Amino acid sequence: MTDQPLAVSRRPTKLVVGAVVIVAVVAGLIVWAMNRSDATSFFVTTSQVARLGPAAADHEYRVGGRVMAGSVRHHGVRTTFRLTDGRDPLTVTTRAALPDTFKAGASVIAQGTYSGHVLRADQVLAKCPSKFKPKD
Amino acid sequence: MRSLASLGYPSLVCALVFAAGAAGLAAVGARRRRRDLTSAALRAMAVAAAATIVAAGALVTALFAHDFSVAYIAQYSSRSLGAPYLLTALWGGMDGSLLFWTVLLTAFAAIALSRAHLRDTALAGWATVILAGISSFFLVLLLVPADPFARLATPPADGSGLNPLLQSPGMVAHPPLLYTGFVGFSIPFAFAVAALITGRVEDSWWTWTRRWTLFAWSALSIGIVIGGAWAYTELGWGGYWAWDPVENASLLPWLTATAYLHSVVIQERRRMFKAWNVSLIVLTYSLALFGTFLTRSGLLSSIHTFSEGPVGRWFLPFFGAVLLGGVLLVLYRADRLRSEHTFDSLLSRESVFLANNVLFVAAAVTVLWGTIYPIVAEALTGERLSVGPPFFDSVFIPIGLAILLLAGAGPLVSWRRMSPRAGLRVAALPLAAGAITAAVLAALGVRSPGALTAFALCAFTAVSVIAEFERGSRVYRHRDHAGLLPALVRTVARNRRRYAGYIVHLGVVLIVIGLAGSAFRTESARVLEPGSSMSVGSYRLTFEGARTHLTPEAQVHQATVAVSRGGRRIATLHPRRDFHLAQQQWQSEVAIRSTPAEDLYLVITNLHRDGAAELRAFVNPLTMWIWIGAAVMLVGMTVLLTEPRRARAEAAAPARERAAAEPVGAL
Repeated sequence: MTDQPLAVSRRPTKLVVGAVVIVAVVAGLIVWAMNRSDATSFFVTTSQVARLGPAAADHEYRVGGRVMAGSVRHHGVRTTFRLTDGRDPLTVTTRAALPDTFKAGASVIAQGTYSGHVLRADQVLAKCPSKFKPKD
Repeated sequence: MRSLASLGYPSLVCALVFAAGAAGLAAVGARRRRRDLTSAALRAMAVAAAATIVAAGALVTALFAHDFSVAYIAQYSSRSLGAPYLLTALWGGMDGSLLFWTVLLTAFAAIALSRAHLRDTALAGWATVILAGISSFFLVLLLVPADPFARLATPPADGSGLNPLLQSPGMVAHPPLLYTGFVGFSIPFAFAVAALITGRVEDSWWTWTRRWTLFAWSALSIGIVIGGAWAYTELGWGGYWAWDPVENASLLPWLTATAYLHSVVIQERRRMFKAWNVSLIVLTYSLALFGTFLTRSGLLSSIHTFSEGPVGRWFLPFFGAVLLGGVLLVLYRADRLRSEHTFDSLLSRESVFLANNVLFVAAAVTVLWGTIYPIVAEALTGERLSVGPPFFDSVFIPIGLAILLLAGAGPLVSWRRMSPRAGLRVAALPLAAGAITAAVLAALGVRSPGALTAFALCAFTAVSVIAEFERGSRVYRHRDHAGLLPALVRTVARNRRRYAGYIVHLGVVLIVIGLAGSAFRTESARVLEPGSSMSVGSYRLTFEGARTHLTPEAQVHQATVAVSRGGRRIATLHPRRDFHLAQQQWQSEVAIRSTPAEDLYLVITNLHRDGAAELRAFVNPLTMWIWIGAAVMLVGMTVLLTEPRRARAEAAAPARERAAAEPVGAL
């Protein structure tokens, strides 16, 4: 059994087609997944949220700001607090665990859906999740 | 207080002089074919490595001496920090971690080059140019924008301490393993570039750098798993992987390196895929660099902090040079990288490997896309956004399951060609195992299609691979009447690559079982007064109160939670919530009751003044199998890495004859 006659003469069309099919399926998956409403979330400040209005209802947002002093209320595992970017504040309500750095004045990111006046956050993160903080 | 820190900067200057000198000498030596110059360059590289190690030693001794006149030490350590974590402070911040990276780079380069030099001077010469050049770049970084020895005009009395999250055993092991992986890939990269420059792309250099690739890949694999275990035990959200860009950065080179380790088998056996393999090496190294800088450049917070970041603006030209240079060289040598054979048949092991490669690279593209999309979107539209786990899960999980299917199909298919009828005959048992698994689980009430598919594929692949061990050890058991274990050991010893590869695959199967278990995660959260209870899964949890005590580091609040099931007390867990004094920061320490069936995971997320505790409880089925699978993978990796030199040389010998004679192949 030698390699030469069969191997060199024939082009591997079937394999190329197979590889192209895999690539096409994955590309389709990526496009489909990117269009899921929960795939991407826009990063906005609290005053940008205030200007969004009702159009914002069907999308995820990540809202960054500082926790306002005196605004934190606990009701069982639900926490309500107000975030501000220095201008318009935003009320956030969440049942998620708060980051260990959470306190009045701390910078946090609340991620969730906006109902028109309240951000229902399913995640509250410390502002800088990465290990190496960029020098400000 | 003065310490040996004053040795650091001069040592780095010395290292740069020798590394740059090595690059220059090696370049002249390689062009003029002067062996003496190449040898001198190798010695210079060894001096550069020694000087870099001295610099790192100076930083470590200064850390232990609490020399807070060094800005880095003041920022990342404190007097109360325990000994192991003083050492981890070496890589706890950006400047120190770059120094640690450079230590590994220069040391690996010196070791790899001194060995390669004996075999092939010309190739080693060019590899020296590349490695000494990369080392010089990192040393310049350490001397200019990221000097770990920069002094403070007025040293503080105590440092600000290491982030409490990093004070964990996982953080002692995770960064060094990741860096070993990332840096290890620079060795195959340097030799690939050297082979492209010299035009000597024949197979010999692949085999010596293959071991470095395996070593780097193994360290990276274990490092990633330990990172997941660290996140699981430290971060307190009940999971281990969040598709955070920092995590993705470590996964990207792992995916392309894994593709390479598979396709290089085809190259050894069939002399195919050469251009593809060189490209994978270039890509893997580029992604390792990308990951290193992604986590340090500020690129993740915003594209604007990136260009302002001290390291970012150095990184872009360097990364561009590596990637562009690599691609241009591959194109330049394209005619010499042609395959010597082509595919014979769609149903062959070659095509399984090809599909595996396409899928691994597609997975890498997916992760890369999700990771850099926010950067691209911000640059194009000015809008800032992030890509979340739903995107990654919905693309990565199907790709991962398809790869698992191939891991099961690979051993069933023979090289070159196979009749569909023969294929069905060998696949019957594994297929039946998969179908029965799915049917049994469905009958037991499992409804998640993803999890059913995953478990069925795990059964298919496991049976396919175990059947290989059965087939391989049959001769020892029947002819020599060896016991099961001795027969298996002899089987593995006879063809380490193939069977060690299968051991790694079995580990992967166990990991997938653990990952699939997360589809059945349940959680519950409540604020509990002392004496009150809550339920999660089949458990009843009673909060019996918290006790407070003070350590030099933190104020520790230790809760006592009684765990009962069916009315019987089965365990007592102690989740903690510590207030770290140096950082003035709370930190939850989780308590986990781990069994092969499921983990009960408790975390106190808040303590109220009246003594009530906010308790979050997770039931994570099968999570333990992730760590067990990683341990099995480590066994396979060790068998691969301890392969005797002679066996390696044999395996690397032209495989043309064997390929025709032997029905099943090697990994």
